Amino acid sequence: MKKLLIILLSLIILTGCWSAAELSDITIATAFGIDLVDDQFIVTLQVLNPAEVAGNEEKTSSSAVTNYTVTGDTLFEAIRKLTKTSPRKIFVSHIRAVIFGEALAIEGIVDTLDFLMRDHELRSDFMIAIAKHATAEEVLSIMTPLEKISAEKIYTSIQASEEFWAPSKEIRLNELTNAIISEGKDPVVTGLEIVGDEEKGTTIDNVETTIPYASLFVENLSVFNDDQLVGWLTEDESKGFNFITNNIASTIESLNWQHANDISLEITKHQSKISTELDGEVVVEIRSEMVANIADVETDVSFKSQDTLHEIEQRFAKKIETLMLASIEAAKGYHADIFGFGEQLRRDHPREWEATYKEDWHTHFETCSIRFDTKVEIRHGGMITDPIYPEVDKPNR
Amino acid sequence: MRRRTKKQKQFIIENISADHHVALSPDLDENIEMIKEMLGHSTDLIIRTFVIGARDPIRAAIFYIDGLINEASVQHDLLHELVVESREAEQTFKPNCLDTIKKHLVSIGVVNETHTIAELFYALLSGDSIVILDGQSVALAIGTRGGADRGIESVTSQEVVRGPKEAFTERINTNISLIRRRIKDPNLWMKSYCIGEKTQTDVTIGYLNGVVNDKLVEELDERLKRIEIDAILESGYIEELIQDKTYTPFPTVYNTERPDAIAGGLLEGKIAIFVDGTPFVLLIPCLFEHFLQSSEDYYQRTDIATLLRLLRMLAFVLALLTPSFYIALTIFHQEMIPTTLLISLAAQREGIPFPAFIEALIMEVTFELLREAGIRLPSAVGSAISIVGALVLGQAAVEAGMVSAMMVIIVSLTAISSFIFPAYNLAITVRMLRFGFMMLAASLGLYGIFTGLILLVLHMSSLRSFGIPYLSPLAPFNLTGQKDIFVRAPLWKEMRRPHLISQKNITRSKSKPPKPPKED
Repeated sequence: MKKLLIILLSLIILTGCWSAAELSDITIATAFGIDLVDDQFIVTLQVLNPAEVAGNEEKTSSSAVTNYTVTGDTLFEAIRKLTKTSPRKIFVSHIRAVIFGEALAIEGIVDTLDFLMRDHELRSDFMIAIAKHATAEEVLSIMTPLEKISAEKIYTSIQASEEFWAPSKEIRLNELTNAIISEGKDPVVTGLEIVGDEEKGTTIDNVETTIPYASLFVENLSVFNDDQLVGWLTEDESKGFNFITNNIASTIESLNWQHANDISLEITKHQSKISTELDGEVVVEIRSEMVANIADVETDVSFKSQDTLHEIEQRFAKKIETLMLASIEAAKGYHADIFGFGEQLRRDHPREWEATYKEDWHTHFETCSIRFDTKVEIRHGGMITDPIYPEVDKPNR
Repeated sequence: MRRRTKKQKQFIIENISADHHVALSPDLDENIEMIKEMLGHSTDLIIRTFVIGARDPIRAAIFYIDGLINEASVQHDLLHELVVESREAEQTFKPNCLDTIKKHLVSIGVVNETHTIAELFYALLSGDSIVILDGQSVALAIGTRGGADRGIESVTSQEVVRGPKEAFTERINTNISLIRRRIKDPNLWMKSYCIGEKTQTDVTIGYLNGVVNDKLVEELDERLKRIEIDAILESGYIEELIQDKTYTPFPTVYNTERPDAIAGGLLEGKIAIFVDGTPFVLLIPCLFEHFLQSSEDYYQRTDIATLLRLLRMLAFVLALLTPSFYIALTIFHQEMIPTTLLISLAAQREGIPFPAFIEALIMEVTFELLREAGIRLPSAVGSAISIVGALVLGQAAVEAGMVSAMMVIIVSLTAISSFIFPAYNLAITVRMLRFGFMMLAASLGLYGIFTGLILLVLHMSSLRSFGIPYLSPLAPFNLTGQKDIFVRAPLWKEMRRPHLISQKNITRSKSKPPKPPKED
């Protein structure tokens, strides 16, 4: 009994309440923005003003988030310096997004990653994005409507556009670091672009109008060579990238039947697989299967015949292959194997990879040949069978 | 008639108190005087002297305590017979008068001879009528116990939707009869004790012979005989004097006012302890699982009962840990709270002057105060407390900036959960432990909570109720016992009595699973 009492008391008294922090004593940070100016890091930290965000409290017209900016030689130093301006201890576990300025990305981001991975307070589930033609500070300063916390808006926008539109990709810390370290793979990161009047976009006015002065757009993918930004993919190339890397949940793609883009198909299921063969040179085979629904028809075509459907399927498969090919060509142009073909080759043929290809993979990547095997299956035609288009007389068409 | 001096009388009374085996005097007047003296001339003692028989009349006196007897029975079956009927009888009563009266006159079931003064007073004060004949040093104690009682009412502390509604009463023989009515087996044996030097309280133990473990009966017998106390006013006295361990928050003796719960316990090989003067009957041995079960579990369909049991276990955890988890998460482990929830919590905490622990403590203590006040309040002012209670525990407290809205939800959740237990005493246990866990959470976070839980489980597994491990059949593990812990298996599957409690006659049911008739 006495022993138990001593143990219990020492548990409570000797330990104290170390690392305890009341919720009212901490400031919740939601995003990091990291820029590089004159070899110094400029860190922008977006913190919450909880009373402005929570559901039932009375709202004032002040902003839901506040940005603190500080300069330092290292990231950690910069963050610690922030306590000079922030009234409370900054709590970084709930970071939703880390934004790199384009200038820093071109210079190389590897210097910042070690801290992001090492610090125990950071969870690794935040999104990483690149500010396109802007600094991270500018991106984080834009007031966003609907979602008051711009970090949260960035997080959910990237998620939603990846799921329903496809030219973007959620990149989290571990995936990015793995791609940077890997010899057979280079990273891609989704971009963010400010569209509109940047000056007015940072004021509260931006969320008080129906048409915001400035908006944050989720841009296409940026291509990295190791840790350096080397270029941007177009929308089609970004889509092609996601088709190759099995990262399509659902998207829309159109087909030129009689005119340009007159049949659109909604892809509801997609599965792709990369395999490699060694046949004197590296042959990459991309097998992909997808299920699509007819979404929109603006031409005279009848779906009553199986043959027409088969033809649509085949032409659609060709269309997807063009997208993929465009993406691969672009990547070859940037000398960056963003698809992980090298990684796949290492898995399929480890000995040859070690002996021949590992040293100079980028050259081999540029010369490798691609084989496609694309299968499309149209499953639903929607609520109507034949299009209404032919029934309408349009004299000028 | 020889009169004793006052001093001599005093001597006798003192002697009687000291020694129970003093006999009555053969002289009637002396006896009357002595009884009056010993009861301090109490006014509720009724004495009626009369004469029995026409030939050779015998002087006699009847004694009883007003209010303890059955008035009608004394008038019609006793006084009428003794005074009126005896006069019409032909025979003389003189020789063997006691026997003759017993055999021919008294038409009441229970007639005992009392030989000592102690016996006489015990019978008199229990409600028997005492008849003393002149020249006899043996008195007759005639069973006329009665008087006002409450009658069988419906249960108040362990209500069920489906199941019997009647509850035990304060009268021990009514309580025993309620059990007898349910188990019509000659093996239902009762054994009585008289405990309490002053109160002389009737305590009866009941068990199913052939099912119960005989060692358990011996052990209980020994523990009851060990009791030396002046008064037993409620079964709680007995509980406290026979339990295995005093300093534990967990009850190791079960109490209930439901006769069906006691009958169910007896059929599992447990022993019931009835105490006169209280509707709460004890049941031993008592295991932890018992507190999370309601007798309704056996009356409802098996799936419903299982679901309700799981719900009660959830409620146990919620009632015990909700405030401490809130404290631990908000002051130590903010990273574990989903971001949006954390933002909302942080917004609520803005401007609250107290640390989360103090805030939780204020609210929990307020609730405990309210609950206690609610029990004691006269029902006329009861509604006042609910109005005031809703203010201090609700919106007003939040608006005053004292506590956060989340804290109100937490306290309400714990409160609701703690009312789910079918047994009130486990709810008290949980209430006590909750504060301990809150302190651990405030000083050590989740690490503290789990250290506390480990200690709690260690403590619980060290407990015994009459030698049976408190956590059985979970620890020590028994497979067949699992049919009646988390789930309530269909009755045709629960074929055994609890493994550790009863080792004899363990098969309970040989029923085959029910099935539809065969089609020809």
